[in-house]
Amino acid sequence: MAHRSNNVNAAHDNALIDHFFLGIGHKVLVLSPSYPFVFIGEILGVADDIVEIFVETTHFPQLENRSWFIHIDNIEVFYIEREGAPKIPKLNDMC
Amino acid sequence: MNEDNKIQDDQQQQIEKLKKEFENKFDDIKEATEDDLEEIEEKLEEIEEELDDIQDDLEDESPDELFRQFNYLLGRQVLVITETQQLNLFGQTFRPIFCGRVAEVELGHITLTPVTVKLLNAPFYEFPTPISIPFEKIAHFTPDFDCDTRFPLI
Repeated sequence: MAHRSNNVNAAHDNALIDHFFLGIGHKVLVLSPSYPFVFIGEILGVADDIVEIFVETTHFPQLENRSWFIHIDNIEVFYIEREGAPKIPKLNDMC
Repeated sequence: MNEDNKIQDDQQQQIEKLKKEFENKFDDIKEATEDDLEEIEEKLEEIEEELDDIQDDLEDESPDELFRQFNYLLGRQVLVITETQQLNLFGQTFRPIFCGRVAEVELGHITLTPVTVKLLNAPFYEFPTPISIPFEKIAHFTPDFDCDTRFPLI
């Protein structure tokens, strides 16, 4: 039983990695429990369980306009922008 | 003169004959094509039925309970709480409590839209985009939850 549940968890993780891989070139919003909590930018690539995002917007401007390598396991919730779907608003409109 | 008439008659008859032959052949071909089409349509239906069966089997036999549950809840409102203590949206901290309609179910995550998050000073803040939640981050959820319900956030 434990063996089977491990399989399910791994399948979820792999499916999520695939989803980020399909999102390469798209804009993404990531919320993480770890500082600085928010990343918004374009997905540049995915390697193993790491996604590379060129972050245009985060909590602090000093951390912006650079590549961040984010452990997909540590992403709490996210949104990948797609054609015909809602756009991620600019920082000032968020709150 | 008579000769000419006879030749004309002959020609006329031949034309008639050819016409009939052509019509018969045309009908034959038409019938055959219709038969073929019917056969193809029947086969297509069979294949579609098989596909449905396979999909049903997949859903029934899938060991993935979360995937199955959320597929069942597609289009309905759910309340989902994820594992972390709190999240932070540009300086506003909030508990990871999400309420919204299940819009998409994929193998590793669900997408809720429209979706509200429980900000401290705005407990029904509608998030500006849909929100995707990885299955592995879901701590618990409750189906068919009315997102207008007020409850304390502690």
